[in-house]
Amino acid sequence: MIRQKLYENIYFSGITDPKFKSNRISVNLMMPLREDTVSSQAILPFLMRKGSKKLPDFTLLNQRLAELYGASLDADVKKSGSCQILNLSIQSLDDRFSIGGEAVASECAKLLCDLTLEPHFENGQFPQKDLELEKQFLIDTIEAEINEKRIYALNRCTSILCEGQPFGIGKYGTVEGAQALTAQMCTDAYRQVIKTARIEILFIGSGDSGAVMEVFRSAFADVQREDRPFEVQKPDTSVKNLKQVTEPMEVTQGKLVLGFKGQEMDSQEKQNAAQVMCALYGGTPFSRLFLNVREKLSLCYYCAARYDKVNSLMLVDSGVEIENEQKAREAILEQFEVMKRGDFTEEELQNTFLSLINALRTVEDSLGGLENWYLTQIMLGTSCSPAEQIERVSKVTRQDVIDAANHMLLDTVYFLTAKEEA
Amino acid sequence: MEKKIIKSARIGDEYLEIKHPTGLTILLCPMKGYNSAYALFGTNYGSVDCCFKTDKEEAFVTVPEGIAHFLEHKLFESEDGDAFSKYAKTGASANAYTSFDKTCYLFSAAENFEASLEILLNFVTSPYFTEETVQKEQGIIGQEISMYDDDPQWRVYFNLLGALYHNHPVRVDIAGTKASIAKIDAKLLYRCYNTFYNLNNMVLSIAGNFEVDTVLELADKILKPAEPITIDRGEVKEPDSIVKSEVVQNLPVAAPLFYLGFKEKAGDVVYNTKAQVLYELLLEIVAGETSPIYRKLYDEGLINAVFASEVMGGRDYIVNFFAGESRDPHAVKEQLLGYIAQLKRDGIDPAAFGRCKKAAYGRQVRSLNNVESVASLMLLSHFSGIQSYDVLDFIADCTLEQMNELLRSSLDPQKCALSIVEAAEE
Repeated sequence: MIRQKLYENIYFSGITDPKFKSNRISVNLMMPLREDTVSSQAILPFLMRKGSKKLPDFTLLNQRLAELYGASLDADVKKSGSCQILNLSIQSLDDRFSIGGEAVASECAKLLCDLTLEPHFENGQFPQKDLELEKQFLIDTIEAEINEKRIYALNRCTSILCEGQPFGIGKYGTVEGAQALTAQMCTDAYRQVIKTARIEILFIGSGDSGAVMEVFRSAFADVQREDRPFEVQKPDTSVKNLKQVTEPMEVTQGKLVLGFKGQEMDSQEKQNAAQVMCALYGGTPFSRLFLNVREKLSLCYYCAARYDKVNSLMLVDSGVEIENEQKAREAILEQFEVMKRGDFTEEELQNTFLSLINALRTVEDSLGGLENWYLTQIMLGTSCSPAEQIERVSKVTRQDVIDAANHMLLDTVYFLTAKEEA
Repeated sequence: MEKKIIKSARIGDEYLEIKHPTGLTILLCPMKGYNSAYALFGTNYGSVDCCFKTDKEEAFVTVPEGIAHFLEHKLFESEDGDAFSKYAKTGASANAYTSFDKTCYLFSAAENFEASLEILLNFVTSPYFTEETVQKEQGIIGQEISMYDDDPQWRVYFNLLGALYHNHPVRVDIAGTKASIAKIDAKLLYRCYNTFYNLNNMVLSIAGNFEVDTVLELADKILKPAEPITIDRGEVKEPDSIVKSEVVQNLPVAAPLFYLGFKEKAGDVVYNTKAQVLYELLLEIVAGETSPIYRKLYDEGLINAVFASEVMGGRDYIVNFFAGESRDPHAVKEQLLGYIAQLKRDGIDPAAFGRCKKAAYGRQVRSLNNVESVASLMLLSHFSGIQSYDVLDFIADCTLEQMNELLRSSLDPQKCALSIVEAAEE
């Protein structure tokens, strides 16, 4: 990875690999995740995705994308630790495959710069009409969480687990927050973001990253910026009383989510050990949870664990029949005791390494995989490649895994259950 | 052993097509620079194949709905443990899926390719079912079916198919129902297996980081020659007409979900495959993000960014549909039908045609970026009677006249149904 500081708090990272037939460029605007700004910031990528000064009309913009060989332009909001990340990305065919020899990559970069720095304004603000539509879309997106029960239950558990902390805030904000947005608020938020955000630009593909970087360097040359340090807030990992929340909804299958907080995960080594522990516990189809809770007991259709390094959190989620909730919960926790005691075989541990290594090597085979990987590295303040991470993970010992399990404390049990018949 | 190189003159990519002496077709595309290999072992058999016989059998058999998917689950088990625990020793990430007309077993491996392939070839060719293991699976799949029953996206889709098709099994959930899977037993599973998992009805497709010789040596070692087989799937008597023009279900959703589908005239499998590629382009022209109607619906707040159009087809069915979230699905339907009628009258704008064609071409080339889509495309193309790169040629060779003709012969308002999932009124 080539990483260059373009200006204060603005970085360009390029990963070039000739095997790809396309290029992916993304602009990531990183802001603190705060309740009072979450909504006005969340709507920005979608407003920016609508047009620029040069292409002030949504249809004109889409026609331009079609001409760039069906380039896909995506707007998204992510969250990582105490940060909200506003993401605009474009992906298209590499210049080598264009029929008329067009410089597709540079044109895509220019388009992305225009959308980011020269949005389409009417009377100095985002157009009212765009605002109304995107507000509604934001509200729909928040409410659509309800449709995806598994994701909904995970999000609910995360909010309870991280109550009062930035990571407990939903990345899209709330329906009320979205409803209250005005064109003035969004325009002010936009100016604040362009002035103060930490900006990470990523290029991944087979094209010339140098040429693309120069497009960004010149586009950002005249942007007025405020120098302020980019601060990341450490997550609060204290665990007091076990929080137990049950919520009824119209479902036939219940969703049980257990939230754990990692304690003193203050080094790369401990983080890696926690990752291996979580994979052994519930991250593979031969994990403790999959084999025991799903296969042997037939209690759940899915039962899996995932670990979030940036926040030192582990979530276990499962889909269970309502009447089996207690049994499933006991079985999940019983397997966790196995982890803490180290009652797993050497073979299980070695197989878990193989599976993690396979996943890490596969990261380099897709543009999206590489983008996620390097963005997470940036959030962790490291720049480790997947190959380097394989080396590190391989050093984790059995004792490290047992220690990691003993440093993981259960904080929240969330259950999404059926509504009682009236 | 017949070996053929399939090459794309347009982009220079190529792959190998091999007819193995056992009857299996092997498609291999080694890709430079990739760490992983993606292997698919698939049979031309899916949820719609509920009634069949072979050339050696007298009578047709009708099997319970959901049996192809059930069989997929069961194959992972053998006498000496399940396939996942074997893959655990190689680090490969493995899975399987059943669609309307295909069942595929797959793995992705960045290391230990040979050992992983050995597992794949072995377990798919070694069925092992007992009444006891069948019963246990009924519990697990029952849970999976409950999950789909709660899934509004899944419901709105199958409700549409139920409104379009009278008899065709495409109208039934791939996993079946709790009642239908209760009728499955070991004997029925063997009957399906012995018919459809004949190597002459199967394909092994691999792309990415691997050696061709490794694959051929393993195939020689593990696979046993299969008797040539002809499978008669009977004929589904499906009228051209639809069942009903609207279906509504209540489930807790924020904004109503809708699917507006058109039942199209299907031909043979090659015709349907080419038609799907061209329909995809047509739908993009009609209601893609660059079209005037998309703009109008969006500006009026009738659709949002999740609006999409898609074509779905197989051996003897093709459906075109528009789907999304809307506060007023009826208004979306009315406007789309009005616009389609106008377009049929006035013809397609040549500039729009050129733009959409360029975009479709770019996206198709880009899909050859990753091992997964290359292996999948080789397999799907083979079962559809074409070769992978034909798809690029269909797009590149398509003319405006062809598109106008296709438009005028499809998207018939008489053969269109609207499926809605919305929250119950409190």
